[in-house]
Amino acid sequence: MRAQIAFNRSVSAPYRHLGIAAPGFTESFGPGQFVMVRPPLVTDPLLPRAFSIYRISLDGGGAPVVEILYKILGKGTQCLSRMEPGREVEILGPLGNSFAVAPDLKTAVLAAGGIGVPPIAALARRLRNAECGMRNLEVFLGGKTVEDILCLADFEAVGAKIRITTEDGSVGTRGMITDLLGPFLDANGSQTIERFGIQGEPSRPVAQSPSRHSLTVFTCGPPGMLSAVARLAERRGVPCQASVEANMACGFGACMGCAIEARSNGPGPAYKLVCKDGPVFDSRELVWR
Amino acid sequence: MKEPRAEEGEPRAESREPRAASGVDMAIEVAGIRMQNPVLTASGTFGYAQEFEPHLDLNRLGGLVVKTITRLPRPGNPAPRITETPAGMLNAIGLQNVGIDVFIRDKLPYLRTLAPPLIVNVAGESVEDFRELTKRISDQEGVAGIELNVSCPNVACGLDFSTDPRLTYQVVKAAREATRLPLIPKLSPNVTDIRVIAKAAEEAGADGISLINTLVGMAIDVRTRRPKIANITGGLSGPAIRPVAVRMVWQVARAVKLPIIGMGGIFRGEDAAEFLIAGATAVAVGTANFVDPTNVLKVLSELEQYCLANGISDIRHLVGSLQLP
Repeated sequence: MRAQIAFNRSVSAPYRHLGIAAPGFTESFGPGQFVMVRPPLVTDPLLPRAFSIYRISLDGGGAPVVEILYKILGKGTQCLSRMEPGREVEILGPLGNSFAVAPDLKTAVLAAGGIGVPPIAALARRLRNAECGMRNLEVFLGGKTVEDILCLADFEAVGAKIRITTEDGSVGTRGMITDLLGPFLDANGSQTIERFGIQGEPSRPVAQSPSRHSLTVFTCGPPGMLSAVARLAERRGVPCQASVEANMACGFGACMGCAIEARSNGPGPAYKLVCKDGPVFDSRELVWR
Repeated sequence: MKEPRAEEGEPRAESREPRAASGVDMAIEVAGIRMQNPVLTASGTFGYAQEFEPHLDLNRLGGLVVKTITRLPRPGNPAPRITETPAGMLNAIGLQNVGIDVFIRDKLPYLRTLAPPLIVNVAGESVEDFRELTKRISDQEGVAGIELNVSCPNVACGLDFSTDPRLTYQVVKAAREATRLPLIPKLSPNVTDIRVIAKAAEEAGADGISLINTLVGMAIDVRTRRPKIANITGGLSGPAIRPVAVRMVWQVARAVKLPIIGMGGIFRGEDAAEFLIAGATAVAVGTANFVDPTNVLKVLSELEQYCLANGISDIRHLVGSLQLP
């Protein structure tokens, strides 16, 4: 639908915060869902771009404002970064699935980096607002440098315990997100595992028990981070949901361009579509390289 | 062929009168298939139509061409499969599809409920595959025509039959022997002289020709020096290829007597008009469906507006109306 840019401002060096006033757009979305955005009537760049929804707020007149955070990476986001408030955009969504939270979840481990943080911030808000507000929110944010650590205020506002790592040490602990996440899961995730006696059997699915969701990892970030987090969780038998990214043309399952390799039951390869089957996957559905 | 659908689709009767407002007669006939207007969907860009149902009134389309079906299901190519290029995109999906059995069981019943004529697109790995696929599709109710995908550039075993006039002839001939339904081979633009291939298709008994499939292209990430898609090469589509497509439609329209469904980068009504003027009887909207799922109907209404603004009362008057200096 045709909508209007409400604001488009810098957050930190390459990151920007975009608000799209879209009367008639739904006010509800699931954390992890995304929108396709493009300037109208432009054929170069040709394709709309996919952005996770950070938040949907309401403007003064009560109309929905779809908020996204984006990083200037290529032609599409450069073009978007130059669009002033008042300019029109086309927006399609919300698309895709969202993170699934079990009703008996006790501890949510949120691991995110860079432009993967906004949907995780949306999830943190949702977890805190949900009726069962007793959950522990353990947040791990990682990035190359301080600028990649987004949405800190959102996590603080929901009372999450936050740990930060940066590769250059400009904020938090110097290193990778997994440097802190691994020991945390060893200390906390292992209790769950031992109880069900599956330690040391990394490929076995987590036991089918109501308490199997007492701890779950939710992650979104660059491919290297996702892969490392997914493997870390899997080695410890901890459930992990990962929101992934792919080149996308349509966003609703028609082009089949956003395929990602899935674990195959047969002899040949298997693929899932990020836009339709995802973007959130149980990490055990996918092949991590 | 229309009868069984008319029964199932009673409530849609009204939506089949879209011309009343403008007064322009948009109806055409291509390859013996009557259509309420000349705007179709291009195979591979419209799934099996159901994906688009939330976005537009499918019954306003001139015709539906659905994604290629093969004998066996295909998982498709490794990722990444697509990348954007200047005013276009490269794709190497690899004919991912559910196979003909599942298509007939799960997809066709829905497609039959839609009013526009259905053109099923099939691809075989051999001449005999084409014969079998054509036979099986023509045994089904509710199919108006068959598009033969003899031009997919993205599958390893070389399905690009239409770069060779002899192979094109053999495939179309085998399909011809297997069906009385209209046959429309979709030709590759990756040839020296498209007219030779089109003539081979005509001689073999084709009823129409779809032009063009994608142009083989390649894009490299210079930072990593890796190809931008896993298949290394892919099919280029979008506005970038439109001049090539228009040129080929113009060449083929003068070389054969068959009606042409023109496609390649159509985004606006005026783009569609360009193809009709060059000699196409109908057009198909492809990549634009990805950019905006309602785009195909915008092409239709803009084409109608174009006719109105230019005093064209019957869309057929536009076909092949190129004015030479």
